[in-house]
Amino acid sequence: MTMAYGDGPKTMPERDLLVLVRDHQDPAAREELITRYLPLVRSLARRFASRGQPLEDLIQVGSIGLIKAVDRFDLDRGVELSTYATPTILGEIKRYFRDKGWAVKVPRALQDLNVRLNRVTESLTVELGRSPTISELAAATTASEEQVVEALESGRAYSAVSIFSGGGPDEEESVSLLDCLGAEEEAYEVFEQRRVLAPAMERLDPRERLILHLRFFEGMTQTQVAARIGISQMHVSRLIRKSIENLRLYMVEGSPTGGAGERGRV
Amino acid sequence: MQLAEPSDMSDIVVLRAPRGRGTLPVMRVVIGGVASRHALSVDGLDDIELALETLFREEPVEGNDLTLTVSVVGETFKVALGGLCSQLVRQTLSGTEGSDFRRDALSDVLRMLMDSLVDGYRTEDGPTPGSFSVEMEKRIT
Repeated sequence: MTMAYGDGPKTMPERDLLVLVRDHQDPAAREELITRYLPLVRSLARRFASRGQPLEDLIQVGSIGLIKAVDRFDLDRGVELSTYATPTILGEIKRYFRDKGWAVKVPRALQDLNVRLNRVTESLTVELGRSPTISELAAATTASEEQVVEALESGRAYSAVSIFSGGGPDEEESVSLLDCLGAEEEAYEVFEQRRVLAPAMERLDPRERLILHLRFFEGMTQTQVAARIGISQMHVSRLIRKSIENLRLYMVEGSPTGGAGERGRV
Repeated sequence: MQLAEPSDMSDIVVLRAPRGRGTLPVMRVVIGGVASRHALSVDGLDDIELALETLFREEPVEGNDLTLTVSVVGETFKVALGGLCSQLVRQTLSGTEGSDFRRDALSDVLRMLMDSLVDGYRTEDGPTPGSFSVEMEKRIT
């Protein structure tokens, strides 16, 4: 099959370019396709611009997704390149955020299992009406129980990027916690009764106070707290730990000894 | 609260490990491993692990080895951490805390956490002077 370049790849129809890439690995055609779809990459990257990472970095990451899409696109599937490229670009950007959140090097397989466990925990909780067991998670993810335990532990290495943009390795956009404070604000008065704790509690940000209140004063389970706030149980687990650590820090800072004699951690 | 007697104990695992940054993660995996053989929920498992971390938080970096004992008695999941030496923890959990401000504040938090996270706990003197263990339990169902 002979292609008439005319003025070159810049004027060629998209399908002809795709054929050139598929059949001849034509670099000029490949480059033209990538150039044409860069605006799509920029548009998708801008969706994540508020998550604390430079937009240019997100565009670079998205471009990698675009390149993969162009190289892997199957003309015979009957879909448009844009239809295939969009989730590929988004997936690359989301993976970038996921990798950014891991404090230590965790094998990709464990990261992926942790992501699946996050989702499966939520769906099983709804299905069962209670927090699932490790066996149930293993069955649902077709992983071994040992792998589930390992993945849950490795999840400790993940630090939430921002509660306002979701906080888990694969967290969907969650309701802002501040939207949920509402009536719970008045319940914080219970802390006033604990005069020793009150100063430290006041220094916590509203979401941290809410989490601790629901878990330790209302006696809700993590699953119940997660349902109330609209985030995952794993995210609640991370936030509880962060909140407790901050509470301790504020108490030590506020003590007459000013933190002197604070022991090191095991 | 009356704690369960070890008359129907199954799945008992004892781990003795030196203090260090890697000890807590290993202990969590051990607890998770035993929990995976029973119907302890992910919520319950995380509660027990947070209780363990709470005890760890008060311990000095240097010191004798720590001993973790994980067992299941009937429908009760039990975790005991021995070789502890934090007198703040000991006095708080045994109800004999002092009057120092910092102790009152941290004691409040410690008690708040332990009362919420586990269904029961008790302290026991250890084999060496000053050392003690904390045994915690969580209902499986």
